Amino acid sequence: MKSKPPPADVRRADFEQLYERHSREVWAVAYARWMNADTASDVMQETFLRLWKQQETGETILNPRAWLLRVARNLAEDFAKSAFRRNGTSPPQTMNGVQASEPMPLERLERDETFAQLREVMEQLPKADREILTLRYALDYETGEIAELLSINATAVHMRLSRARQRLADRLKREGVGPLP
Amino acid sequence: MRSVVPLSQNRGDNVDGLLRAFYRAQMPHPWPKPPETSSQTLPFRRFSRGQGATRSRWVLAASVAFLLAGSLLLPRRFTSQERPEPGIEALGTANRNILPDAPKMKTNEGKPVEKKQLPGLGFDEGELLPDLDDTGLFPPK
Repeated sequence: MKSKPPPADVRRADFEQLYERHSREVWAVAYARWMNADTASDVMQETFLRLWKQQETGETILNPRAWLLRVARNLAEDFAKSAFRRNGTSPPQTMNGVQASEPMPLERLERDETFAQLREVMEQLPKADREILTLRYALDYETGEIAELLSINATAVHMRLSRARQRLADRLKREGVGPLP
Repeated sequence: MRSVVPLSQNRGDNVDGLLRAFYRAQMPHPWPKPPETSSQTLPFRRFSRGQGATRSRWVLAASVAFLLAGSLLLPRRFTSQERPEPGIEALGTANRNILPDAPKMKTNEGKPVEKKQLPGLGFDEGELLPDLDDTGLFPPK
């Protein structure tokens, strides 16, 4: 449905509100796909830029949250075909998907090593497992919130989450990934 | 109501703690600001609706005029200078020598003809062949 777009400052305020409310979910969806923080941030920014352009045309989005998550999922999938994915590499600060903004004492090195192993194991999990674990542990979402976001019921969330965690724990044990130092 | 999934005792606690710490380390700190939008879109709109549109129309009109003038003038120029003689066109260039006033092909008249050695032999046939003595080979007549 098309209508005359509201003035730019009103649109910008709405846009920032939507960003504040949904950007973490968008990031989590992209992160669950690629397990890479920089890629997830890029996908998040691109998703919101597309939202802005969509609003600029006067197109009414009835459910912005669903729209954003759908676009983020599509963009995350398209990322596989992009040139950066084919040719690029991670900058040194994010090798192994672990950001290094602090000094690197021994404890920190061990922790990064554990995270890198965990990341490898998570990459082997099914996409659905990664998504539900990311929503639960990155965003601290409760069962009800996850159910609403994934459009499934609470029992299904319990089941999926429990199985995903079990699979992860089994693989971690098999790979010998220990607890944090 | 907080309906947190019950954890399986020891291992579950470890996995929970590990996952929480992992995601905390992965999420950007501080959280990035929303992407800039206003500066990117406004100048573009102004350009496309105002002077830019008029200018592009003028450029288009000038291009069309140039094309028309070119298509009228260029053929006239070539046809006045390089018109071939009537009748020759049909024969083609290979038959020009058979016509009486057509330019002749180049010949080697008056120039000494160089002897070309045959490849692989190294001498001219007939020049260096030795005279064979054939006595005794044939019965006397």
